[in-house]
Amino acid sequence: MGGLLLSACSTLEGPAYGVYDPYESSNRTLYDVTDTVDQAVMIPVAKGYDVVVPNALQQGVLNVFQNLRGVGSGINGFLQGKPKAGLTDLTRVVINSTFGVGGLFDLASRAGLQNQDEDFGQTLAVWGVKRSRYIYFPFLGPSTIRDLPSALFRGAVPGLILGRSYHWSVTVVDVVSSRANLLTATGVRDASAIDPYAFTRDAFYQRRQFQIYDGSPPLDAFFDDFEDLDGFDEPYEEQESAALDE
Amino acid sequence: MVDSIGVESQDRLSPGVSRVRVFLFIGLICLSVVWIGSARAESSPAAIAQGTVDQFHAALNAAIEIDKHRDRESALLPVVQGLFDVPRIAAISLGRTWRKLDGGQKDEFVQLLTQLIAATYAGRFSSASDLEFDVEEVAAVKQGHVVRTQLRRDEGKDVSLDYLLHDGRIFNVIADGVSDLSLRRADYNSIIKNEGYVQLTVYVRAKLTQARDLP
Repeated sequence: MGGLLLSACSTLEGPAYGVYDPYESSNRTLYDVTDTVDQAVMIPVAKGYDVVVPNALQQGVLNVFQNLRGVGSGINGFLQGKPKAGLTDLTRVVINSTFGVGGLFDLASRAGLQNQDEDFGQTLAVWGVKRSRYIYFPFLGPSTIRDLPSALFRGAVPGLILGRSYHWSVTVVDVVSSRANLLTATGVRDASAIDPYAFTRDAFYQRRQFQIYDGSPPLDAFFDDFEDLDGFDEPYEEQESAALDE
Repeated sequence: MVDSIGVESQDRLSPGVSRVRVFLFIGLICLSVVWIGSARAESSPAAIAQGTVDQFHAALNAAIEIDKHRDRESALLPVVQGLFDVPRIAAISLGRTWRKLDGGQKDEFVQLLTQLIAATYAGRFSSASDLEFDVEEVAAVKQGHVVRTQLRRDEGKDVSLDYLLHDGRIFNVIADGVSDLSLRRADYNSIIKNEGYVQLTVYVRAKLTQARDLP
């Protein structure tokens, strides 16, 4: 199954790690529908949560869900050939689940064990699936075919970990807490973007690349996106003349 | 005469004093080498790149103390004009459209973008909470320099800020992996493709007004 997905994704055309959006028309429709619901329901609820729930408790709730996902992150660390990262995540789960009262307090971070934030989409990227079609999944947000399984799995984690003690309200708290945590990011988007769809898509792609490289992409990659850089060395008035000569 | 005085005076010095003089001389040469080396390092492209970023951080730290958005923007406008390569940012953001514009249109767009960048930073760096910028690495790459920094805040997580410089001026800022210039290019090109350049300038002006409406 994994091999099929790997070969299916790796044969796709498009720039490595670059934006590849062949379904733009349908993606835009799904984005608009999701955004309408987000503006009408999710943002007011998230803002209400942000006002009512104290910051410390908000952080605690985020910590609990991050802790639940720590086992998956650890396994993906090992799958990516990073045993230190995998071990860090699993140690975090043990410390935070016990001394951190079920993950409410992130004591592991204070002890220098930072969340490695790995997932199966990143694992596939490390295994060679660098190119993948962009899809905007309704109510789930931006993703790619490569990242979709891990995005769906992410939502199912609380149910899988909690078993019989799981209640649907846990997912409601997870969704509202996650949305509230994104209020600043979507605020930046609303303040900056003229075309929020294009802005969201490119921000998602870049953020994923950052995660795939564990926050340290190769330095030359910073400039690879601007191949024409030297073409702008001349003063722009002179460049205009050059362009007219072409 | 002079030679004889010199010889005489040297001859009168004890061997210990002479050795001290030699050590002092060598020490002076070493100090000179270090001084010349540091002077060269200060003017190296990497040092210039870091100096540019340091100046920008200092300007942000000073601007954050200013209450009104409009005043912060006014304080940051000359900083953006001096430290950012706005014509390059405009050219990359507009792509092929840039080459089709006449000189007046280019000037106008660069001016508009300069104001928008200053207004955006004035909006983002508005709370009085303590900020600290740590420069972690200055690296030369094939087309310029990358200055990697961490923004440490009293509240919230640290933010990784990477500055891309070409010829000593900033043309891109990458926050936690998200490139400001790439987003701007995607955003502007989408509008140009669907609605044209003139409509883009209308939207950019609207964004500037929106940014200035902030407290």
